[in-house]
Amino acid sequence: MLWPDGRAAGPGAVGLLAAKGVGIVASPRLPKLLPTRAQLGPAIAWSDADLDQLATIGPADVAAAQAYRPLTADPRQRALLALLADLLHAQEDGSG
Amino acid sequence: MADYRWDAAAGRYRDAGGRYVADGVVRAAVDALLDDGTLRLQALSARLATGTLALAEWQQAMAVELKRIHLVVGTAAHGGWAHMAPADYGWIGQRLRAQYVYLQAFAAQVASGAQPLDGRVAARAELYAQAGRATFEELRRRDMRLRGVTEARRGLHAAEHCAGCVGAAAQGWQPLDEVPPIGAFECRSRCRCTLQYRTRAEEAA
Repeated sequence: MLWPDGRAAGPGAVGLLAAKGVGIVASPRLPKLLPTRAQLGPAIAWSDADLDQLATIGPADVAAAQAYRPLTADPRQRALLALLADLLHAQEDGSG
Repeated sequence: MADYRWDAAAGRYRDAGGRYVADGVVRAAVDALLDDGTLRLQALSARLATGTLALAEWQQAMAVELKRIHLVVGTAAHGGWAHMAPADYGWIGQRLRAQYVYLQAFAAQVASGAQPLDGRVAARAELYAQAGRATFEELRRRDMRLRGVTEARRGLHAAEHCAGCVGAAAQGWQPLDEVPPIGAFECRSRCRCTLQYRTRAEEAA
């Protein structure tokens, strides 16, 4: 881990912050540590074929989207998301 | 589960009593999904910034969430799961592909250090979730075009508006394809405007 100015944080500092039980960045009273590039690892370089495949929507994607579970705890937001789920299951209107 | 129907001719939902569901209600539900997606992307980005998620894992997880977001809002614009055809999934996939190109650049900038791992990562991730709004509105516009609708205008709502959106709304009714898309101005994907439709000499849809 790194201090914000780029200096490496020793294991003692990391251990001390972790021992506080607040996580590495959770407390505004403690300095934030950043992961090193080695910890981050490389980005994925998608080829055109990869992008085409990634962006293809199949039955598994539809099933995953239908199984969506809201993260928000806000009651109004949850009610709107329940409405959206109901709308998505609309059938053809035969009244017109 | 409440019983809703899709009136394909009008491009609108009806409730169990046959009344149209207001466009504003549908958009509020879509906005709720985008805001929930924002929470998810911000949580992923927080894990990236604390080193508990490797960059490649973050990139893959972001891609999965983006697919879910664009798929759901696109389907909401098109009348629900029962009305989606392969061409509709393909249309959404093209928009998704463009987002993946942006995401790849985002990840490369994190890897190079050009994108600092501070609060700006989560703020930038939010824009990716909110970009689903443009997918919803543009799929609606595509469908309105197919229905023969000829005109659109920009609707401002309860939000802070950028000068570009205010100017576009002031133009009033325009030919369908001349109204700038959601996200075209300074507020970018945070834009809360809607597009409203009519066929010339008719009332707004």
